[in-house]
Amino acid sequence: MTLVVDGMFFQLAQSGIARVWRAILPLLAKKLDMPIIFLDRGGVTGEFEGIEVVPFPAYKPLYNPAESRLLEQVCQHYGATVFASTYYSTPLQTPSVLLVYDMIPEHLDFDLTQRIWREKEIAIAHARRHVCISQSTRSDLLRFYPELDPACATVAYCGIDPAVFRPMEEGAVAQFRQRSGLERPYYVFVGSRVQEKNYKNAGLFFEAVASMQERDFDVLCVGGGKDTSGLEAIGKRRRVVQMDLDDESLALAYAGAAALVYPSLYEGFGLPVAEAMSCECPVITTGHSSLPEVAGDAAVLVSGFSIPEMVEALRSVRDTVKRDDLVRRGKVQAGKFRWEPFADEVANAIRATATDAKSGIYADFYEHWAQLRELQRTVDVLG
Amino acid sequence: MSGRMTTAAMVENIATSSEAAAVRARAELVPTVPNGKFIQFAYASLLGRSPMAQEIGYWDQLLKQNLRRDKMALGLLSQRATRELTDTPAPPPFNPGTFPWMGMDRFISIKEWQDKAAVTDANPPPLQPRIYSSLQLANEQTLLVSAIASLYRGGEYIEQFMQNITSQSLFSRSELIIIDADSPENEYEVIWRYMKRFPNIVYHRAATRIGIYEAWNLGVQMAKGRYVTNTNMDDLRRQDSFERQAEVLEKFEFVDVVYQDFYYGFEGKASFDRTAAIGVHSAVPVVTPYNLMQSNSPHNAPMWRRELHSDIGMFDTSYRSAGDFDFWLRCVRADKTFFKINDPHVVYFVNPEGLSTRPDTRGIEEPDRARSEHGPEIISPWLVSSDEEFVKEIVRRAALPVEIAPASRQLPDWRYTAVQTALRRCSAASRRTASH
Repeated sequence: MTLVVDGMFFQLAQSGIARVWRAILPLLAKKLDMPIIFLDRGGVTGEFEGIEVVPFPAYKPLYNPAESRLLEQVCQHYGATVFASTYYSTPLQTPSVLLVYDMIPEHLDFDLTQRIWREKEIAIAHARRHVCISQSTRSDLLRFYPELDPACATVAYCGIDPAVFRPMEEGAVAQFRQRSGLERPYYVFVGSRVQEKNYKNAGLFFEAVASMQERDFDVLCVGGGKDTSGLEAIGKRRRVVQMDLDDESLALAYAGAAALVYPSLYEGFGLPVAEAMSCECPVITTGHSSLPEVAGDAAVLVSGFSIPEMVEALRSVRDTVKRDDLVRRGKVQAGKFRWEPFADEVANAIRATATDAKSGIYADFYEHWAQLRELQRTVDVLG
Repeated sequence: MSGRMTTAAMVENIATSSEAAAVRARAELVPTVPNGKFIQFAYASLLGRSPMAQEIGYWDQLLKQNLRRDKMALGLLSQRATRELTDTPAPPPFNPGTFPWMGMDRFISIKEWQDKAAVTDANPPPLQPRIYSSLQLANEQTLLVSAIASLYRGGEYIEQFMQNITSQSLFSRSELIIIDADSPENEYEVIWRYMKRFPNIVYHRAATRIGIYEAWNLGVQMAKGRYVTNTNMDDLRRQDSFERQAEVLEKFEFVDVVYQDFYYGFEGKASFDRTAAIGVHSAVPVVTPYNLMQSNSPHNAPMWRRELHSDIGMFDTSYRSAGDFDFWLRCVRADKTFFKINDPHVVYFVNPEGLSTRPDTRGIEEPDRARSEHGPEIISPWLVSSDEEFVKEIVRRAALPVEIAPASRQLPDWRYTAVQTALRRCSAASRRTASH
């Protein structure tokens, strides 16, 4: 029994999904009574404890059925019982388990004829079990894929590492603020500010700030690219600081902030909400998709469509009583999200799939699947 | 606008009427033969080469729209006639001063490269290679690598070459076989100096000027290593290049050939570290039979199992520049596995003065010849079958009824998406079975 994990996401980005796998791989190595092989396509340095890392050709959104064949050869080389991709890739006949992060492209009408989304469909159809990172993601998965067996689609909430995202020492926070030029109160916005369909809704926050009379605060954008052009309107006597931060500095940034502003209209989970809460940072977010599950009763929830409402929320968190209440609730809420139970759920899905695979119940399906996927390879003319 | 139909609309109406379609069908060449087979035939007989898979999809789409087969055939014929009967020079394969950037769907200009070079340190620190402890070679002394070099007029590079190869980290488990194709530049003087220090250098001088693939074949016949790699005089390898390749072949016995991305170098004698720091490298894909027909991704410093030759044969010496391409095409025909190493550990030297502004006739004709020979075997029968036969095959493989509406068969990749539909149906059906 062996598990093969395709590390393709690490090649594409080091964002949330990479964070999930970084956290759970060492835990899976401890929990699963089977060797784990990790296919490195780039973007991974060093090793994961207890896991054999081997190279694999970098991903391209082309020639995917041919790549399935190569993945199957690797799986067979290792006698793999189960395959799991960190994103959307599949072998031919080795049964797979899929972590489902979100259904954003399906929900927001992205162009689903793009190869990467076609491969997402393949990955969902190939997998025998699906672990969704929120109830909301699970219900969207079952909505777009009504043929799935609900009993085989489970939920595991993402976790946070309380050793990293923790209440920070005041002196360290003050130092961070000083070296970042953030001595005045500031709001934090994390992640990309512009994306397809703008579902992260950064514009609402920036427009709200631009409309405010108060000039006694600044804005910190973490990640999302260095280019802050277009945000000049909010910069009059307010600073907009963009920084790329490691986890330790991100925790300091949260700890010193007036609030994390996370006005997204769709998320698969919403890790920053839990991470900020764990650092005693008030959170303003919306009631859409998974966000109420992550925020619980510990955040200021807005509709995500009203500028005056956002302005009101931004003002409210600067009230000391309100802030203390949010911080207190936030700590309790953040305590609900840990990687151990997440890894337990993933390990359970892998074990169950391995057991089913041994019983032979998948053989017929994968035989037909492999034949079709091979046919698809022979008619793959684009690229 | 009045309610009257414009002339253009009237013509359009007549052209798309069912009567017109019937007339067209009567006039159509071999109407019972599927588009794909017709396209293959037209390419072979009129252009003298096999179509690429992509071209089949493209023409199939046009033929399904309004294009008639005789018009298509005439177009191909006129291409051939212009090429062979007139003095009109064919356009250069690409703009002077540029070079195809493999895997990037674009060209790199020498200027672009030189601009990067101008802001790069002359002696940069080496980039750290990605080393996998899982691939570490067993501590044995067996001979692993036979590096083959065909030598002709290599005087300018011979010292750099000998230095580069003999300093390979795996050189003690390698042999360097130099086939001197009767070169007039007395490179042996330099080689001999290295031979005194390294007993694992084999030198063979041919009595006459032999071709590169003849030299390679001689080298392969003399080789004793488990793996073979070809080495060009003016290419540069990182010190651990052989090791990175051999360790993958040792680890994965299902892999027959390893290849990799490579740095483009336009400065003849720049160090590996400098060219790597300039940082222009290829992004070649996973090799598939179809993309290999288009582009020779493994061409730069690949390494392969020597035993591959007992299966595939030797290099075809009737080629002067595309013998390796022909060999790889034979490999994909025989279903051999190519594996790409992501870390670019070789430099491919492009001589800026050698960049031709005129079409390189042999550089086009030889690959076309290889394509013609292998294309008909490489192109799947399912890409050129009739639409109906293809849909039947999907249903047969799925063992399920799968509806593929005729209206959805208009796009060049409709066969791909039709199989995708079947895959999803197949998956859905399996879950119903499982839960019952």
